[in-house]
Amino acid sequence: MNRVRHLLLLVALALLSTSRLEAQQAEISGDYNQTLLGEVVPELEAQTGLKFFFLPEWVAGVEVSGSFSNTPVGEALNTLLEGTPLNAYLRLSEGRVYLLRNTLIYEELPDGFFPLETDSTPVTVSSRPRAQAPAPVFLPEAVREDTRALPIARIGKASEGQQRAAYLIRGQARNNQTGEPVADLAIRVGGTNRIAVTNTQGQYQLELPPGYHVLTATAMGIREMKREILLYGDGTLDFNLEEGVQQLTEVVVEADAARNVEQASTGSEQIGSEESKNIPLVLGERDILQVAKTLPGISSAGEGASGINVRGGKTDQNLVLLDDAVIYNPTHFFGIFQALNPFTTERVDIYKGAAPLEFGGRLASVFDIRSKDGNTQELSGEGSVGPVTANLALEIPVVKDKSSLVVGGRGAYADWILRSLDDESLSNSGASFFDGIVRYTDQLNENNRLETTAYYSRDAFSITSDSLYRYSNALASVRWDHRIGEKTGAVLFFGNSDYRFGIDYDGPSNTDFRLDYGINETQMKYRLRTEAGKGHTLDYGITGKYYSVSPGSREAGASGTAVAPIDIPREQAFEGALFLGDAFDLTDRLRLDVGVRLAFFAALGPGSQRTYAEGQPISEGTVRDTLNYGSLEAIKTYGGPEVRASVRYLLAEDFSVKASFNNAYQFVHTLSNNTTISPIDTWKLSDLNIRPQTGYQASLGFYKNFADNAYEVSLEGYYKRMDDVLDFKTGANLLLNPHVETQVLQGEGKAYGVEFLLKKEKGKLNGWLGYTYSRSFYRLDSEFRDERVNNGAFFPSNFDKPHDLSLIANYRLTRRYSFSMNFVYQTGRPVTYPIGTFRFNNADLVFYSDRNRFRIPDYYRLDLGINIEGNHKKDKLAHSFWTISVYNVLGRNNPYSVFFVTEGGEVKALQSSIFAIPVPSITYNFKF
Amino acid sequence: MLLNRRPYRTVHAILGLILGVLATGCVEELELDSVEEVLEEPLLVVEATLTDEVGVQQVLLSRSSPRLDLETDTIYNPFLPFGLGARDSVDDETGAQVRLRTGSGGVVDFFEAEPGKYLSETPFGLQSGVEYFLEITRSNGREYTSDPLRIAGAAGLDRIYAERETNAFGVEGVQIYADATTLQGDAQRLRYAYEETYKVIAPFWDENEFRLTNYDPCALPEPTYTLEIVPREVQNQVCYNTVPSETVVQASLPAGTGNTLQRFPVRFIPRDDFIITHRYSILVRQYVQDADAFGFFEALKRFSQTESLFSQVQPGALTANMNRSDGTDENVLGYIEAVSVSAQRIFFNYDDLFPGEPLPPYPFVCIEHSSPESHVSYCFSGPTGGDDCPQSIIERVNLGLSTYTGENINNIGTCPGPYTYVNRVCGDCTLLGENTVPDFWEE
Repeated sequence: MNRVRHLLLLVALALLSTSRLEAQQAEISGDYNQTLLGEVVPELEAQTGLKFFFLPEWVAGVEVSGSFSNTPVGEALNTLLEGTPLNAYLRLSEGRVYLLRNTLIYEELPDGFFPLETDSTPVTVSSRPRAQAPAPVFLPEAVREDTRALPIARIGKASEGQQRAAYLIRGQARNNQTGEPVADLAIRVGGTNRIAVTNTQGQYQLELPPGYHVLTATAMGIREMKREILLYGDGTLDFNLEEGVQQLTEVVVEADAARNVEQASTGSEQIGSEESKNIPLVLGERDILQVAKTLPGISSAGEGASGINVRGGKTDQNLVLLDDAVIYNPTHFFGIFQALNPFTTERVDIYKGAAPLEFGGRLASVFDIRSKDGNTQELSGEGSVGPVTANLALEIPVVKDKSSLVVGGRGAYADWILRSLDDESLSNSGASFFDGIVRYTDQLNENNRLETTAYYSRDAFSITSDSLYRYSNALASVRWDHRIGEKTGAVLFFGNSDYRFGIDYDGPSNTDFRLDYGINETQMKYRLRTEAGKGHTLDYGITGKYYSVSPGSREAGASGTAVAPIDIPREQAFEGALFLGDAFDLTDRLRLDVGVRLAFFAALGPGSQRTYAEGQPISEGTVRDTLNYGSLEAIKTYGGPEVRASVRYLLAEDFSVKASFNNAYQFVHTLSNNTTISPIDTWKLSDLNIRPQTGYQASLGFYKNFADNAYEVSLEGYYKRMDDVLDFKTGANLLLNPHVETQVLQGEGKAYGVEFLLKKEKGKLNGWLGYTYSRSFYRLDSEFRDERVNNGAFFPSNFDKPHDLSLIANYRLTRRYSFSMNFVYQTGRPVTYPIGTFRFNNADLVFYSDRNRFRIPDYYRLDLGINIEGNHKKDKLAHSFWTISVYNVLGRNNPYSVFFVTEGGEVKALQSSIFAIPVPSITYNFKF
Repeated sequence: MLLNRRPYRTVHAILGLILGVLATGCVEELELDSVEEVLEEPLLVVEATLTDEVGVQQVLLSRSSPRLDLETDTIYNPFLPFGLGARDSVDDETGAQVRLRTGSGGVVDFFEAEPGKYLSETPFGLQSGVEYFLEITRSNGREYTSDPLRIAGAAGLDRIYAERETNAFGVEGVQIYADATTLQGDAQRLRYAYEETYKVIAPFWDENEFRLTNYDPCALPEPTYTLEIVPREVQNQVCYNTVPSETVVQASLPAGTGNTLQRFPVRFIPRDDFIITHRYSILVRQYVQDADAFGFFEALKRFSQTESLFSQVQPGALTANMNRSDGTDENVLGYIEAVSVSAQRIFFNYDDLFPGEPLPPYPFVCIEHSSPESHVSYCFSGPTGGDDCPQSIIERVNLGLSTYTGENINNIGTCPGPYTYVNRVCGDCTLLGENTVPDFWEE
């Protein structure tokens, strides 16, 4: 690029010795409508006899328009070149016209070009007042020496009479391969605090002072791009980004380089589906949720347990969203596999603390899972064949560059394994599951974008030939992104989510039955974001949800008469929220992100609710009255303000401290008295007797990036309190119970912890090390004996695992071979053991310790994997890679649960393990 | 047994499925040693149902056992001599002083009638509207006081009746129903307890029995003994067994008086249960509980009914309504309840409900056997072998395992001996009951 520099100097020097004169005689006539400048110039030369000088590459592709009739050539050229990066410099006396890119020709040297003698008189050569010309833009000396892969982008053109402190750059980021817009691309301005983030349509805007800047663009799955610019005036700069080819085989959890330190919110993580693909997981199944559990603060009660506990919160306190719609059970097969198709999943954003204002209704966390946008250029697809499932996803362009369809399907074929076993007790058992997703995205135009998603998953399993258990998720969503003017973007969303489970029992006797449960919610959300100027970003909107729950019905099966039908009446409720928030920089270093969300909930009739005697335990025995409510009559309303406040202070460019506080309401609860979650846990709406859960959390963290953001270190502490968290009386009977409140205890919880995370995202060796020290306790106190647990004292929760260490490392040996490992260590979770027997009511009974007084043995596990990429020949039909992994290499017999059986008159404690030996697996993946 | 005998069977099944699918899991036993060290000492277990019925009231005191070995002698093992099987593991709490005190200062003392069984020195009944406290001073000096005890209300037990029925699980049998009416106070929480008494007739009873004397199994060259067949001196053909209920049966009614409970199922007996083979009687007691007692028994019941597919129920500690008097934190197990009671007894024969239908099978295998009368001396030191015969008659008689059924006319058995015999439980009903007719028995 030295050529450019030389040329500039030459031109500058050549012109310095001349003076500019306006020639009146050269005139132009003609009509040009988007004519190539390269074609216009010879015509102009012919008309005027002037000679044009320029570099051919400057005019290549430049189209000009204008209509002239004996127009002076200077005026005509100004018209023609308007909207192009070119300026014309006329030396009519010499019969020459110079076309210049971006720059103006300066007829004088700027002040300070030569060091001035203190007493010398300034030399004024120009006939033109100096103020009219903007200060010239030069490349810094050091930069001129650089060699660079991409040319310096010259943006805008300096124009006379225009002199602003800052100019606006706007543009769009696109994936070079697929042509899809790249959303959430962070564009940072080197050496400053400035950052711009692309919206869902890949668009951004950025105000910068004129001159030389280095822009760095980073996003998930995208190769980081540095772009040098010379800014002359308002203009556009589009980014054509490469996929992170190098990152394809790396294990990267990329809360992008800038984000970690610079954003204000605490406790947020992002995992890309593609990036997590090499982490060895059981049976070769890619599982973004399992990967999430290796991050600090996210855990589950046990290996294979389907619930996720975030920072000491219960499993029902997580809002899991798939393309904005709630997914109630995102797992298959007791939580061992995720119910999300890894090939259609783009990423998950996890908020462990103050979540964005548009989300609400759960105390602990938000898992915002996003599906991929389809390829709008050409048909592409991905597939895999593993030991348990086969998976295929296609991306089908509908209208090129505009709209695309993603179709994904996944099915399990576990039955053959079952049948190949010699165990008679399993001869009648079977298990199957599948999930499918269809997603359509349409970039209607520059300002409008439409996304729709439909998803369905179903699990069915039977342990004996007479019973079949099934559960299913269904959701559908439509989202319309719309730009209103320059500053405001809006999102209108409609979604419907459905979760149901059932048991079909068809036994030899006449007790056949069919049991059903279902919850359905319909949501509307209208969210706006306005760039209000002065760095303020306003987020505001409204959301409303309608719940309809069928708490349970049991009807006699075909041949049955001996089953009393039960049908618990449907429940319905409305949940809504108004929210308003502002994110802004108070100073260069201090950033605030504050918002308030007004949450509202109304349990609606028709229905009947019991009232219970004051000052007595709520039980069948203390019923005082039953109240009846008419259709849509409010049974009970709850609500209040939720505050979400985050503050970030930059101690240095790559070192920040952040604090946040938030409180929350949760109006729906899971009814589960199991130690781990199960697919037949039911969801219950708050009502007259069951209050919403509330909680608050405060956190403080330090974030530091090292070595050009190659290393990210964070240390975050939190303290959390919860109120009215649901728990249950010992041995509570929840399923098909019309008066669940008699079984429910509402108590308080507290949790605290320190989370440490070290990430290395670049280089041959990458991965992360996470360590969490955390505790979580609950307390169930009451003046009544049977509403009290552990004498009303705080006790550790089922998922209180103080020490939790995860190490995920990936080493790329060559372009084709890479190795990965995953090591996990956790304190064993608390359990309740029987500690003896006693005789009462003519029977021998075991009695248990205080709840969760004991712990099962510690958990640790090492997984190893090798990825072998196929060759990267361009003309190959499909790119393929093999994943060979061994789960639990050490063969550690980690306990899944501990339970007690009486055999031969003796109580035995048994420990069950899910994966007690190393589990090898091979998965074949292909991509085209 | 109320104990969670098989609550985890289904959990097994699920685990089995998971394990099966993945073919890699396992279930193994954990050592419980560490658990046993948890309690420095056993807990006091208190059980009392104090009633408004005037009579001798009873308080049972025992200690919990750290052993999780729950075998009891109620399970008959025909291969073990009677009385030599594993014994009940209840440790009685002896030497305690037990008093019932009223809020106004009245005291009733209890005395220890049997180890761990304390009876009131005078018969009395609780009065409604009076607050009572049970106080215990253990032999180690520790004092305990119960929460205040009060009778909640009164309800009448209108009728107990038995009907032939098929239950929800498709099993045919006898359903015992109760009808009740609330009479006074807060009588909406009822608990039923019962005592069933049934007649047992030994199917292979014979009027003669073995009598073994002068037995020396170690004599050489042959064991010495005298085996006689003599007429029985003890009546052991017809016996009566009385078993108290061990399950929790509770019902609730709407609040207020005059409300009735109808056809409430108290006890279901499958038709193939041998206890109804001949004549059966049940004494049903209906207690009116207060809310706290009702909750305790409800929880106790749930503990024992966890056998549903996904309920890996969260267990926890259940403690008694009694604490250390000095406020020291110490868990006491069991419960003391103050209740009003009404009771009713009914009788029925198998024939009344299942006329002309086959009787339930005897619950033990009863086959006549024979074996050689004597055996090789226990002190014989020469070569042995070639003898695969069953245990000899004199050994069995000596251990009390068999009863006489006749002479071995048909030469049965692999090593036929002179007599035939059956397992003792087939010919001697005293293994299954008392050989005297209970006072209340009506034919």
